[in-house]
Amino acid sequence: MHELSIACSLISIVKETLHDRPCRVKAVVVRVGRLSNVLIDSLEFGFSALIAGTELDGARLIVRQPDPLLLCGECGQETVLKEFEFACPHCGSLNITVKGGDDLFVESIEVEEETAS
Amino acid sequence: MSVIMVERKVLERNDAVAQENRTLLQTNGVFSVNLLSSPGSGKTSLLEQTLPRLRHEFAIAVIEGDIQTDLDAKRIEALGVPTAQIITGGGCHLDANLVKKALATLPVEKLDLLFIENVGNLVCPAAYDLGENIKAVVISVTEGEEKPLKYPAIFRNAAVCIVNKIDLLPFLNFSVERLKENAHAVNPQLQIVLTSCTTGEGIDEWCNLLRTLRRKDPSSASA
Ligand SMILES: [Zn+2]
Repeated sequence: MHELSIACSLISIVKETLHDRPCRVKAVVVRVGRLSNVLIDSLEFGFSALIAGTELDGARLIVRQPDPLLLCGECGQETVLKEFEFACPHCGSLNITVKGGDDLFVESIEVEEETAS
Repeated sequence: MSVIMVERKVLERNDAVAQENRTLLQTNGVFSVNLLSSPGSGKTSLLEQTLPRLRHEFAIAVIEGDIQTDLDAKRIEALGVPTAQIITGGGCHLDANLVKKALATLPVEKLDLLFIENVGNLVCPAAYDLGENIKAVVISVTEGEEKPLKYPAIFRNAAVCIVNKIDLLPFLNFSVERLKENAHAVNPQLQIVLTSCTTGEGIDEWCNLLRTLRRKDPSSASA
């Protein structure tokens, strides 16, 4: 599925961010919204397959999946989105926006600096 | 160990190219529809019914996304509408860059309306902005009423849901009401049209909806 191309895009962001910084990448932290249809297992598999034998070899992929938030346009309350419930649990309004549902971000990179020897 | 903060969208490159496509289409007054569905829901049949009804009114082109074959593109070309074929070679979705290349082969400056038939899949295409004005999701009554709940991302981002193959309703245990409830639970604004590409039922309604949506779009209305 599309996890491989997502893994590919996130790896190029990591490489771009690091340029030629002399370091070893220990981990890449990504944030994947629960509504983004990304299968975490496939993403991890794709990531490890694509970095094998490259300068990123051995890096771990850390996936964070925070709960999406539902913001009510009527009563202004903010609640954690429950599955299939796209209405405000406080006032029943359908005038809502979902925050963080389809997020797909590279958050940070954990590196070990290589000290010049 | 040190931590480098990045906070960049994984698909930022796709989104940037999608924005280029959007600008190109909007400056040329082209209203574009990204058609999404599971395999076999009838996107190509829907276009075969839609194009003859609209082609005398609008200059139309179609971008056909397929995993392997050009069979669907041939069906559309047979209607005399400019068609750009994208064969993804196993790829499960269209991305903005593929659409950009397809647009380069079409007479964009002359067009009023563009249909992009995405690869049959309700999962991956949801994540990829192509630069379209609206997403329209096609489901058939053989697929069950739970589809919107299983694929909320696509139904939340769509403006229109076409419920196709309604000529089969008498033979199925499918509740249109139940489907509407589920679809509106995830997206209260979703416009739902019932169609049959066999009998032609509902196609005029879908065409009228397209005319309305196009008129409402400021960039295409002015051109
Ligand atoms: Zn509320």
